[in-house]
Amino acid sequence: MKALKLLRASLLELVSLLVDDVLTLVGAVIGLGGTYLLAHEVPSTRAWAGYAMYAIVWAVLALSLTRAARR
Amino acid sequence: MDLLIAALPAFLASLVEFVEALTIVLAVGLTRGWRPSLSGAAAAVLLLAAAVVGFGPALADIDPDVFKAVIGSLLLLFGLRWIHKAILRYAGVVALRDEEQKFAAGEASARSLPSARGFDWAAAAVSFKATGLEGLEVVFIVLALGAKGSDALTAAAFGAALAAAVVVGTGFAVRKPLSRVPENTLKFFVGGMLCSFGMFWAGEGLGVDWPGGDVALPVLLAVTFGLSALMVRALRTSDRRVLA
Repeated sequence: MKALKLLRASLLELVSLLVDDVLTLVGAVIGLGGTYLLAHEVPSTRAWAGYAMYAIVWAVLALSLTRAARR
Repeated sequence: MDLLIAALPAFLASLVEFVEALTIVLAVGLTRGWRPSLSGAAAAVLLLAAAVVGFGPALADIDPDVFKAVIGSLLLLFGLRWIHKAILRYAGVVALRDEEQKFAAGEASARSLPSARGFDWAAAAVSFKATGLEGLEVVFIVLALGAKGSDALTAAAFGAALAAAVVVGTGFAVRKPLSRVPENTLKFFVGGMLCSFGMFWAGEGLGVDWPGGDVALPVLLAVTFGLSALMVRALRTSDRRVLA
């Protein structure tokens, strides 16, 4: 039981190294998923897919920052 | 070029991580004794070194595009976490990290540990955890910034090693937390760099053909720092309650 608790705590610590805000994570996932889809499914957008999706990542980050500031 | 792209961000990011780890190791060492504190830190370093030696060669077998996509994605997440925190701190929404305060909290926490007969395992565990977690971040950053090739990896590892030498040397010379290190400024710049590098690598791995090739990297950096500065300005208010 103690080992499971320790394992759970360790995993949570590891996750917290990468994510401490769910909304930012959602933005990154949408941005990266969108990048893959655009680059692979719409060849004409291969050049600009990265910039377009980075803009989405930042739009969601801005939303998350605004939400944090209002809390 | 490798020096600029890999060594500088690796040095700055590692500096932040090592300062944070040093604060805990010093707090444990000064309150519970140096033997458990340094043993815990050394055990964490050895474990991380063993993991790098053990798993490192296997990374060479991964498809380069998959490697770039995974490392880039993780780097982007890591950078977003740092820049999110740094923007909120600069805007006055969240209080700046105070290394002296963290040190005092670390000391209080170490004092509250049960007293030990023989080797102080609890104190060693605190030191091990702090060094291990911060060290893991350093390993990850070095691997990510070195994703471009062996020269970049060497440059990133050199940057991290230099940061370790600077922090450990200074820390043990002054025996105090390094509160003068501008932690938030470093976090802001490194967070921006990690976001930009992360998006660049992830894009390349996911099939993006960046306009101008490597020229896209400085463009991404300019966009990132421009937007970050705009966000700080937009969020900054004079009468906002500062959260701890």
